[in-house]
Amino acid sequence: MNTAILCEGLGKTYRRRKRKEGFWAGLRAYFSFETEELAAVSELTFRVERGESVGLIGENGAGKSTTVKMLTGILVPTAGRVETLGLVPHGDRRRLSQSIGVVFGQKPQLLWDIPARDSFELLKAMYRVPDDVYRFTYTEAVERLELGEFLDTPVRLLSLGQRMRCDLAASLLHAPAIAFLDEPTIGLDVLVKERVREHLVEMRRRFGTTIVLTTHDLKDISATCERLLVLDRGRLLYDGSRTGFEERYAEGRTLLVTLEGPLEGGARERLEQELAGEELALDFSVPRRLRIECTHATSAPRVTASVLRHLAVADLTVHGAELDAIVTRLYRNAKPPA
Amino acid sequence: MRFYFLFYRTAVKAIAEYRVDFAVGVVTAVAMQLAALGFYWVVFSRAPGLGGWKASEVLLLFGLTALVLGLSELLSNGIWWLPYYVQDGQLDRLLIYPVDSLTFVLMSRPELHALGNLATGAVTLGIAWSTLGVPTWMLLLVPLWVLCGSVVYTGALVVTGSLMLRVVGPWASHLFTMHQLLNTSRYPLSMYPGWLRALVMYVVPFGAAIFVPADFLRGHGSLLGAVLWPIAGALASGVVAKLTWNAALRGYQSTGS
Amino acid sequence: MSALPRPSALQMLHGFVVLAQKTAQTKLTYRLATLVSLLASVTSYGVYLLVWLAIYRENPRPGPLSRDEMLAYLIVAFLVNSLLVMSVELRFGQRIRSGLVASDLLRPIGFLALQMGQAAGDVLVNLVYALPLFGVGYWFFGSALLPHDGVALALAVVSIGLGFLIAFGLSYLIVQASFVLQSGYGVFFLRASLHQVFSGLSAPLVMFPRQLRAVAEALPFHHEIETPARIWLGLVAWPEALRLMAWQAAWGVGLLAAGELILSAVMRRHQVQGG
Repeated sequence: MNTAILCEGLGKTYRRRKRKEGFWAGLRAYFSFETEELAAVSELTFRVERGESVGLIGENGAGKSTTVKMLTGILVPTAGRVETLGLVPHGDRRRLSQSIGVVFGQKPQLLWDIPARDSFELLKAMYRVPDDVYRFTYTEAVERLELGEFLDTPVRLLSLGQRMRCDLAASLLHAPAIAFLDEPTIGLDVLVKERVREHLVEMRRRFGTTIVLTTHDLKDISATCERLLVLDRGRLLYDGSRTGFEERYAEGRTLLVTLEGPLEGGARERLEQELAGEELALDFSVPRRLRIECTHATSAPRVTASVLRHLAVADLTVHGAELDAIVTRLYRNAKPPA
Repeated sequence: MRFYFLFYRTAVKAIAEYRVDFAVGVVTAVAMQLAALGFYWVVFSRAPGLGGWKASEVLLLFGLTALVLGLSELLSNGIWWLPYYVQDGQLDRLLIYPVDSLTFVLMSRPELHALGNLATGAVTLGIAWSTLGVPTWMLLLVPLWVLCGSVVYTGALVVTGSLMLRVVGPWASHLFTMHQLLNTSRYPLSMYPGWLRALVMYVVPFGAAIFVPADFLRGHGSLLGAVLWPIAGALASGVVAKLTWNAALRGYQSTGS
Repeated sequence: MSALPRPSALQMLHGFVVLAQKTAQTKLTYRLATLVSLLASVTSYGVYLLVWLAIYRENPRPGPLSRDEMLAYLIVAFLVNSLLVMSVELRFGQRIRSGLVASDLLRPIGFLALQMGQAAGDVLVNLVYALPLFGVGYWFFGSALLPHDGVALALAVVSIGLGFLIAFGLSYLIVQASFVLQSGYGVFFLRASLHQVFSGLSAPLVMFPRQLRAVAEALPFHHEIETPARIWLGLVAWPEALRLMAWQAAWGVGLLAAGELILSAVMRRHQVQGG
């Protein structure tokens, strides 16, 4: 049984009472029972094997949290089938909960009025974590996430970053088979984010933890995930490797050339002439630098050869588009389903 | 089991962090009980008794009710926080823990001002006890009655809280209805109209756990009845509460966040 | 000195009205909650009513009021009380827990007006419920519940308004306490229990034992409920009514001033939780 998560045609439709604006309309709505339906997620089909690490991305309201909640058994789907670790999450919730860890970046789980250390001990008892596992997870968390200084401070007195780190540690103390991380780095500074990512990678290395990560920070994904699920308005837009995603949606590459000295007279014109047939844009605006924006159709080898032939090159690098840029463009272009 | 013990201890520790609040809470609890006794003062300055009960006999009811309230607040007060848990999404969190969710919620927020209620209850019960000359050995039954009464009361709160899990908004006002209903057991059932008597005997059986024992203490009814009625009431309330809670969670899971 | 324009009195008033409206609207969306809290107060009230009926069965002449006068009083007192039930402390407790209170303190309308505007919204909602309740009461008890005459009605309306000031003023004091305590619930219940005995909600002060009555008269609580209810029922002549209303006004202003004083002291000590 190597499947961690299995979804087939998974969907969730909310039913909401209609709300009206204004005092009198509100008073009228008071006596009405009108409701409206909202499809948060529909026809989600995918499978995650054990040990995979999957990034779940999408705009606000794309259905990421709803999906995670269905996978963890917090919500009951209105359509389709879902299995997590071979269990129906909402049916076998308590049994499943023993083997999963969940971080809701927006809703810390530690008891507000007691120090994190006490919460950790409580969780150890709750999940009946074996001593040897606990010794590793606890030590790893304390060291990697640098919790030592504030373990004995009541949680309410911690900063957001400190609280978040404790929360992440708490969710992974029992070395869950799957870790669901819903925006675990929200509101953290760059250094702390780095620590969080390292901790995830280490837990994965040690326990083969399957990771499902939703985030708005794509650097989280680049650092920890090989696979990407992209949601758009509740539907699956992309499912595949992260690099495949970059190749498929990246519309071009950029060649950055550093020259040995100032441009020789006529070199620029000769290059432009030779590359006239290619789809590209040459940018000489920075002295001793050349930036070439290529499209999908451009032949990179030909362009590189021409550059080397006509210019004295000190360095040449080729860059694919950053994940960030690709996703931004994707969101902007995605059309609402007809 | 070890977990629940540890959890309760931690929860108490968390509350005890706030010493001023704790002190204010105890003082308040005593003040509230005194306020209720103030109304007794008004009542018995105008009438010799109520529904066939003498003042000191009514005091038995008062003492038992205060003890029941106190024990419930001490052990299972978390139900009052349910509306907040729903509102800020903490209930989601509960669903991913491998523990019994109802026990967890109930134990999550002990109310230490319960000590004030327990103290007032014990004192008034003691005064009534000695005034009436009730045999001392019957004190052995008091823990049973208080425990059963607390289960009935907590059960009633759980049922109310579960039925209105999603519809009430952030206020626990619906639970206050039950709290007020508990206050009916501060007075003899015999002064109530039939429907109300039936309600608090059979539907929300405060009467079974408080009125029946008090009636026994003043020399009416049998020992067997004074033991069996409270137990039956507690069992019924506990089972109904658990079932309603489970149903409510299923409903919660399907309505979404 | 300041170049920033100050809001005019009219703008302030408009802000106040909008605030009250919005609060009422928010509350109306929780229809079941409000209905149920009404049920809670009907239940607690029912107990008082039943106790008094039992007293009159044991002793047909327990005091200066006849059984029917007593019933009418209890029902009118209940209605006044349900008009003045506000969520000042509860709402505030929530703001503290969520840390939003810091932004409340920065509103240009001022903290007092902000709280009072919301409280007025509560009363607006209470009206929606109190009017039908009054209808039900009238159905059962008839003209015994109506104001004694036009003067009594006019005075009673003003007196209820002054009662609002006192009720709000007391809650406002509790709110100040919540700034310092973890949760204001402790003191909130303290106020609620004092209110139960001393507001005249469970009995008019004339039915109290002498010592208890002396305490009650020294406290502000009876001016919330008992005073408006007695004026409404014509149990006091109008010169006496005016004297009582002067007391109400004094208490109301005094409580609000005390609240403002404590607030500024608390702010100076920077002990605002969640701020």
